[in-house]
Amino acid sequence: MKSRIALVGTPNAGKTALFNALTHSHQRVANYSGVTVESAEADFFLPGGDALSLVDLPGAYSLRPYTEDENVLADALKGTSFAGMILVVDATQPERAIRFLLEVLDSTDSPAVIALNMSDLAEKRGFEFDMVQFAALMGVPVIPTAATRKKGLPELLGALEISLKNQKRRRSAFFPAPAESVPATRVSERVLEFYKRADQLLKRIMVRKGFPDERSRKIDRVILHPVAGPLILILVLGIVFQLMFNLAQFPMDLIDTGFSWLQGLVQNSGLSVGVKSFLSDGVIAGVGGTLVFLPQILILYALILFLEDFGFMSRAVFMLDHLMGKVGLHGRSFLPLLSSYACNVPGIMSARTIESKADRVITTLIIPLTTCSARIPVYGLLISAFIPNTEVFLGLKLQGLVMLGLYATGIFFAFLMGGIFKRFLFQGRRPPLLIELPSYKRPSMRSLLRGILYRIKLFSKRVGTVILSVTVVIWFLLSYPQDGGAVASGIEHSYAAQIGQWIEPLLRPIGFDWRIAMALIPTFAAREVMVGTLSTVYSIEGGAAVSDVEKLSMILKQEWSVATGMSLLVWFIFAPMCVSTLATARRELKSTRYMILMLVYLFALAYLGSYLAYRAFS
Amino acid sequence: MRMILNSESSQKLGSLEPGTRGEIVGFGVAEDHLDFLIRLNEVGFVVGEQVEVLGRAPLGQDPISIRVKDAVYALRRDDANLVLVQVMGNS
Ligand SMILES: Nc1nc2c(ncn2[C@@H]2O[C@H](COP(=O)(O)OP(=O)(O)O)[C@@H](O)[C@H]2O)c(=O)[nH]1
Ligand SMILES: [Mg+2]
Repeated sequence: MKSRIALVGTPNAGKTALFNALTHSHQRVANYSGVTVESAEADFFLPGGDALSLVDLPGAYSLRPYTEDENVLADALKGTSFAGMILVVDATQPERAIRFLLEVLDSTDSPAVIALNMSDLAEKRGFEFDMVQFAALMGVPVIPTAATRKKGLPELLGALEISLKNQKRRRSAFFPAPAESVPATRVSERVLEFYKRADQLLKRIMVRKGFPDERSRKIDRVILHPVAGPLILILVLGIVFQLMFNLAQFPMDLIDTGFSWLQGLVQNSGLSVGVKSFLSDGVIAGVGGTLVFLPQILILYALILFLEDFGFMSRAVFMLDHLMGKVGLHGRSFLPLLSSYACNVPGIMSARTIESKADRVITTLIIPLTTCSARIPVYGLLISAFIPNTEVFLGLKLQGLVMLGLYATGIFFAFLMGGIFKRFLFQGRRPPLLIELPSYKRPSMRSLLRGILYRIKLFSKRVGTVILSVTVVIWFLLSYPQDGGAVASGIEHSYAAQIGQWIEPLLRPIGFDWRIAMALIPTFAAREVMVGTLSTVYSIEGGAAVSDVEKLSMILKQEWSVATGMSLLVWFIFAPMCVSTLATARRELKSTRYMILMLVYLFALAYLGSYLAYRAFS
Repeated sequence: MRMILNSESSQKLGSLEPGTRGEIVGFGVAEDHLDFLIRLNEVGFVVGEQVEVLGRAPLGQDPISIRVKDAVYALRRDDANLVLVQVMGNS
């Protein structure tokens, strides 16, 4: 295995930017404390040609872990998993960065180099560093860098190569002995010691010749303005969702057409009926049905990345904290909740940056109530089948309003349940909030592009593995056992139908027949498969391919009652139909009990809601 | 940690108007909040440091944004009240 090098530094020091500049992999860069939710790893080369592996660890303000995120770093530094470190120093925050540097260098003998990053901004602000003195006092090479401008990178790698020649760092006079662990009662004294040492050090290596940066302050006067601020926030969110739906339409149609064309190709080929059905109804329908909303996911992520990189996200947290507090949430829950609209899984992972256990648990528990994009095709299908597109007033159409209502219901219940969990699971004082409002930065298009590519990679992997295998299994369950080789015969005798019929009694009170029951099973792997499964069911049953959503919605209109349609619509707001979400929640919270709670409360809401909807419309 | 309690001229950080500058002179008692207090120390809030209240969040006038050294942090007013400040003037 290649030796691993860790990127270590405070939040927003530019670790991810440096990671992106040094490696050629795709990892997002963002201007938001603690956005590195999972440490990314990628290869890079030293000037001598050796290949090493670089790990982008989450940032921390100290090695005394305060958030789950910081735990990752503290643990990583304790072990022997790294051959060396690149210590990333934010040159625009010298005091804070140096204190952290001292703490890290105290704690380990591992070889290290210092990247004095953001040197471009520090220079503008008139911070002058004496590099030679700096390196001599720390006993570690210091290289000024500007990660987003790719400045100082060859020098950094050269210095790293030399440092790695020794397995252990020689401690300079500034680091007398390895630090022993300190009893809890003395922790704050130790913090103050770091202040003293950092001050002594800085006096000898840095002078401030300029004035503090006023630009961010000026931008904040607008963005955090008492009146304009909230309006801008609403406007930004509105634009984000508008773009997500409108921009995505064209590529989605394109993908849809592409897969229909593929299906046609298969249908007209000389393959046997069984193989045709497998390729067309199984593989192409399943994979196509999922890939179709990749554009939506990517657009939402791109916009989130852009806003983070600019520095807007932490301002949104700042503005929303009070409001979120009213429903038992933390301002920091905002970002996880927003990302969940693309997909719940990364949403849950980014809840790691929330300091308090209570807030993290509650945020995770309610995330499945946000409308992830996998629900959109199902909503779209049911709405087009059962909601007339009449004009309500001023050109507002009923179908659009129902869609909006589904989103609103989801977030309403998310907040409601948040309040309930807070009240019954975690009483007591609200845990404190401390977030940094970093200076505004021009978003880097390069890292935006890389972030998007990274998402595409993750998503394709999911489609190629989970979704593909599930669709194949489902196709098998729907098509077998066969009698006399005719696939089209008797879907009601298939394995899937048998399972569906077996659970039907349970779902009859909410208006679902065995076909729906059957179609619900695969949605545990991916909700979006529902549309594909229903197409397959009615294709096989009707003996003719139901190739597009319009045809399917016509069939549903004939076959189902309105009450059933409404009931299923409500079911999809609540039901925890996604194994990945549940598994991620369990892993992130390190608790099976919370996962079961999530499963149970969501099923209870779904069943109750669907029952009421079914009653109301029958 | 030194616990300098309300000497008459010090004020709680959470109570200061936007634009106010001051010097940190101590910290309130925080039995159940020791962890948070240490975190405040770590990010820059220590006795002798200068702070400036920049503004308040538009909705509910809470949290507030505070400049310490070269960083700006958001703190809820309740939590900021742990920090005691000797006011030095307005900007
Ligand atoms: N001007 C400038 N901006 C930088 C530099 N390095 C990073 N940034 C920006 O600083 C912000 C935080 O960087 P990021 O890599 O996400 O920090 P991390 O939290 O340490 O991973 C982003 O907006 C970057 O684009 C730099 O050297 N110069
Ligand atoms: Mg990062």
